[in-house]
Amino acid sequence: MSAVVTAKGLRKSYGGFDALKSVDFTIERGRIVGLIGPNGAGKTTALKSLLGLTTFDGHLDVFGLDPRQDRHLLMQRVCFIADVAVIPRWMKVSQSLEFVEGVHPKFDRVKAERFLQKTKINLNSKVGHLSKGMVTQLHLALILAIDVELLVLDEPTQGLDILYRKEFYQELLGEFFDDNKTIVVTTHQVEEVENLLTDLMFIKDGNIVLDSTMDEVGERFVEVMVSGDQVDVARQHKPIAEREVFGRKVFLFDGIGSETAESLGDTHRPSVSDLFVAKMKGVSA
Amino acid sequence: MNITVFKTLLLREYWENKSFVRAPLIISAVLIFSMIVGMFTAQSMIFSLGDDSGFQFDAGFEALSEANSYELTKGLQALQFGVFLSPLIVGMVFVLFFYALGSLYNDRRDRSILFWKSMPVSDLQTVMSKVFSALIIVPVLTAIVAVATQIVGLILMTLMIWFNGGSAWDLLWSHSSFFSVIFNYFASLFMLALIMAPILGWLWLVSAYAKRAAFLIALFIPLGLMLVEGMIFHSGNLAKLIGDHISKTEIIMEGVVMHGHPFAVLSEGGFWGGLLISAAFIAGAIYIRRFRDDSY
Repeated sequence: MSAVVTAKGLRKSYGGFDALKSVDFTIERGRIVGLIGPNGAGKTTALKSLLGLTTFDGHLDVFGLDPRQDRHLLMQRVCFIADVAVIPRWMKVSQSLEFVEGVHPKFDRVKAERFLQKTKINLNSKVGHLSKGMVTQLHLALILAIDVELLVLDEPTQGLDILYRKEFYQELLGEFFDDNKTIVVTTHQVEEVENLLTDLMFIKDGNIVLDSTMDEVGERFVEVMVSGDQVDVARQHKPIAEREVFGRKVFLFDGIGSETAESLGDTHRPSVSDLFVAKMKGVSA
Repeated sequence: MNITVFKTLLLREYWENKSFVRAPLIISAVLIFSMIVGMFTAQSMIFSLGDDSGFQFDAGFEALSEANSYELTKGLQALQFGVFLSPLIVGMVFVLFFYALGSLYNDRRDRSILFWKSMPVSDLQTVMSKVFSALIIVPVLTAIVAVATQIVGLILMTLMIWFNGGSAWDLLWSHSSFFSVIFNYFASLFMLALIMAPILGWLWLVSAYAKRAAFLIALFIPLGLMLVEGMIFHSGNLAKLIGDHISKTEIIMEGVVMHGHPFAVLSEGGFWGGLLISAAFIAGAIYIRRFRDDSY
């Protein structure tokens, strides 16, 4: 596997505010990376840097290019959906196809049209007359028909109803993703992407607080439902989070080993959202 | 620069800005409609004079065709420039003004810039497609509408002359300088766009820079500078500079009527200075478009 993105000492500050405080990370080819963090944590700044939409300090290499210098070259190999419904409202659907065909060497118009046929989108409609869900479908149709190596999705399904959201990720996996491609996705709806991700990256206050594969996450973190008499014993193992479900304590542990965990109670794999909450609070109860 | 990409970018400007064609077409329709109304009014006046008024139409036509042929030609030319071209020029000035002001601003407001920037198109290409649209595409489209308007106008006049028993060839077509006028429509509209280039450059700069109220910024910064200059130095050099530059349109209009071409303005230093200033503004706009970080 080779690195698609390499960041070393990536920094960005707006005035006095440090949006990114010298972070290091690499993204390998063929991975689906979830970049997760609260608003203002630096997610968007990281993505913008990666896409050549903003300036930054430090070293950042995407396919061997510096995004600050070569955004237009980079966009032949990278595409992004930065927000829902940013396709210009005045455009006709057919014009959006013609435009992308004209400017993108790797666009397959037939593929995009085949995808659109599965939807209710009319080629003669104006984008402004489509529903938000349909605009996202159109954007997805355009993106899926571009044979890029890295796809960046920033809150791609925000504000969409559940039917569109499910379909969005299904199509993405079925039509786009393969071993040679890489997806970076940020979202608030962690549950939706949880099962797609191969890698997880948590970002908080401009720092990366977790960067590991989902397999490693499964080995490292464990959630244990502890019966009442074991609670004090469990606390000695320094859980990173503690909550109560139906009168029983649930502890989240970081790297205590499965035997120890099983001796405390029923174990299971923590959900990404529980892990996220624990990591963001940063408590060790 | 890749030709297919650039053609696609121009097409996109044309798709978005329907005013490129709509504005001259509407002006043209109004012109033709007023001509028809005017002709009916004139014809009804001719009828109301009656046969016993002593007004001799045939004699009038004869006198006209025997009149100084040079004067008739010049008069007809001036008429064609004055009636068909001038309103279209005014229209083009408005179209270009609002086009330049919105072209790097509107897509930031509605965030569609995120779509444009996700495509492998450099900001240099993007801005140049807008400059090319303003300085070439819009003048050409406006000139085409001007030619069509001229043809319809001449046909209407022909019908009126025939209706009153005159010879349209002698009175109208042989003096219309048809092809010279067409050439001058294209040439003068192109030169006018170039005269406007420094103003358009300023508008692009503001368009790329402004977070909001681009129109007010574009207007009040120059006005403010004039005011400050007046208060501190008690002079009005900036206003004079802009005024002098705009007055070069007179050289163009005088050229097309008197000399048969609008190119006398090329020998004016101020014309070239204007283009330089325009290039500087455009370079600034490209730079801001490239690095401005409010795209989210």
